[in-house]
Amino acid sequence: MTPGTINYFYLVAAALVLFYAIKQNNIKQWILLAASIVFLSFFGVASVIVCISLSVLNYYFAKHAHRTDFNFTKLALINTINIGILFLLRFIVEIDLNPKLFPAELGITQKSFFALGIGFYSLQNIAFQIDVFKKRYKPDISLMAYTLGNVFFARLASGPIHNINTFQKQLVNLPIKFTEENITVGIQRILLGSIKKFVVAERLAVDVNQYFAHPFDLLSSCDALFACIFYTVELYFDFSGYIDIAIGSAKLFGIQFSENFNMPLRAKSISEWWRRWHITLINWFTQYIYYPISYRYKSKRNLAIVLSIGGTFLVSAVWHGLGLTYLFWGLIHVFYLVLEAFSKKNLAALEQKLKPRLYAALFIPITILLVSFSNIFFRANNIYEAFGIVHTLFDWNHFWPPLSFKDWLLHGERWDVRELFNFRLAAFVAVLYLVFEQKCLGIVNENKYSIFRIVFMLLILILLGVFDSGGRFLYMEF
Amino acid sequence: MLKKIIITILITLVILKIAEFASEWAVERYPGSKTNYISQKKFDAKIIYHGACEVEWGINPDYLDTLIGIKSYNLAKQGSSFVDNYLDLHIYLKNQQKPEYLFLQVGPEAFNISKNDAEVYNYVNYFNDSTVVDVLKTEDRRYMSSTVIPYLKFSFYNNFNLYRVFSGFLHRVANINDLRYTNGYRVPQGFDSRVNKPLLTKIDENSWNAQEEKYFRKIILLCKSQKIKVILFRTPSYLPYQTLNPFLKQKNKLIQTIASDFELPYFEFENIEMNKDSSNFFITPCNLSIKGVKKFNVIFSKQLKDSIFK
Repeated sequence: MTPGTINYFYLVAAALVLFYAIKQNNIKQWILLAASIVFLSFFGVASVIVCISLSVLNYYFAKHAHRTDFNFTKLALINTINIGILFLLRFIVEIDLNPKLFPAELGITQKSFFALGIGFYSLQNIAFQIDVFKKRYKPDISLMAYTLGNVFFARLASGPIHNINTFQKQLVNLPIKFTEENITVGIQRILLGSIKKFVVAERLAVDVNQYFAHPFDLLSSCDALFACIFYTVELYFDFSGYIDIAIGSAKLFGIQFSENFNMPLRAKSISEWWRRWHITLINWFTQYIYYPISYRYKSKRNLAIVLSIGGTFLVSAVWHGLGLTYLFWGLIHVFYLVLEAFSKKNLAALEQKLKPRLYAALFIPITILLVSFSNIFFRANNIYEAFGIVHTLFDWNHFWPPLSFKDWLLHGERWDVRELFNFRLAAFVAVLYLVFEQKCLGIVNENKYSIFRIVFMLLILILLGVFDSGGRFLYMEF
Repeated sequence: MLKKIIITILITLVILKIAEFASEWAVERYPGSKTNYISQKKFDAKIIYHGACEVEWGINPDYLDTLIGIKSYNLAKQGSSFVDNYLDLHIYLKNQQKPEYLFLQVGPEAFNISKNDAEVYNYVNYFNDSTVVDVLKTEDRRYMSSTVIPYLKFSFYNNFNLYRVFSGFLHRVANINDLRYTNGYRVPQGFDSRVNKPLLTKIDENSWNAQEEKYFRKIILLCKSQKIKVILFRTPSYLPYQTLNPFLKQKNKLIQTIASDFELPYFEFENIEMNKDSSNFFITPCNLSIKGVKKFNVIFSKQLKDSIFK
């Protein structure tokens, strides 16, 4: 059961009916918790046990430590447990282990250790401990609110990451009746997210998967270039689609989540990209890694820049996965950002010299290209394949495809007619959305229910969507 | 508010139902489906060749008919599994005169769903056929459970079906009569980008899919029930590919066991001379080139004349 699938909507519908049929706030919380556990149980027993037990452990630990003396040793202990469990489970699931290590006859395999959303709620747990340790707030929240903050089905799989304390304040005042705003915005955000995922991302995924499944079959630099650009677009539509579904689902229950994207494909620099992409994760890294490091080395400005950016992206890379590919991805972004930080004055001068539109026309494509290049490492199955694609990308003796470029790009010689039809459809919808992104976001956040608008969105989704993959989102692996 | 939501759902359902009827009409006219062709055109073939791409691109009935002197049809489909083969044969027998012989191919990639998996989207316009629906319900429950929502029977596999709907509609509007399946044989397409690559010789995994075996047996039983003689055969494959794949022998033994269970003749072409020459006769380790088809069809017809059509 993944967000956006039929079973997910059955669960949301059942939870909604019960939620609004009951008046008592605490029972509403129980309904959300029950729905979340049902959702989580679809991903295996490990997902339920790990999420609930880590929530209970962190809750009581913070309470107890706060009552007694929350010193640095205790903070280190609890966060070592949080990080240790995260990496242990990642290690078991991601590394090639001998299948004989797992008692398959008891139904336990390597995949049984996959804990959905552990990367996301571990960060919330760590942040909670640090905030209580730093006395930013008291742990006077209920166990129910704390657990729900981690396990809430709308955000469990891939965020957005939130502050449990802020979330708890929303749980105190859950809506008694459903309002037009909650239902309208909720439905529209869910539909927008589903369209992004099932109309665009699922179609692009077919081509992207072919490219990355056979990295050594890429015939020209153009192939490699398209592979990484398509992947960036696919990743954006997939992940932001998930976030829209998450925000919409929460809104139906009167809960407001933070936005996680702000039109990243319009960023004019890498630093701007990171202010627009996966905002809640970057906020977390900024607050708990970037600021502490730069504060520590504040007297040495250049060193502070290098270490804080380096530290942030090193942790980010390891958080995404244990493979070398993520490390390279992180290092590439460190390089980009350090370079940008040191040439800030020159870039600002250039921006003033050129007209804003010309500057944007020049630097938006450059940013997309740079991010897409780093995404080769983010997507490739291993470092060997990633360098295979990079090699083809820079093999300019074979820059153009073996056919004429026009045949390759326009007439579909590279793909069969059906694949080209699907690709063109996805590209058309993606470009249309990206051009009118601001307007689309404005429309889906309108709180007046329009039958025409929702019927239109439903028809786009059902008539043009692709549903055979099971709707697994790319960021659910983290 | 609730009233508005109900109106929204009702309007959407009505439009989807209309779209479903229109798409069904269009997909029936989609010319790229052999299943559509055999259910809409009439031809009296005495022999049916059935299987996957090795047969569709490797047996040319026009050529074989002149050599053997009996009218035949190539029912095989690229990428098809035994589930597809079973359904296509069922649809064929429903719409055409009963053939006397069925030549069923069990190539090196047979019984391996990573190579040829069931392509259930091919049967989206056959939901009024209870056999098709029963098979789909057993083999693709997720798909069938989604079809309770109007139009999802098309859009579930929309990467395939949307194109079919458009293509079918445009062919009807332009009134184009596509004759690409008149004898069922197709010249292999889409290998242009791979011509410079060395012939693939990578090792196949040892895979024997139980579902595939089930439908393989069902095809034989269906033919037995209709008194159609079944002959199993194995098309040629490039010799190094055979030696590099130790599991092929194991697989061959299992096929021989099934053949003897049903007392079926089984022809193999593993040791013929042409299997050594990849540059002339093969486009992939299991698929013949146009030149290879001509040579193999002569060998095949001779074998048939010597043993079956004496």
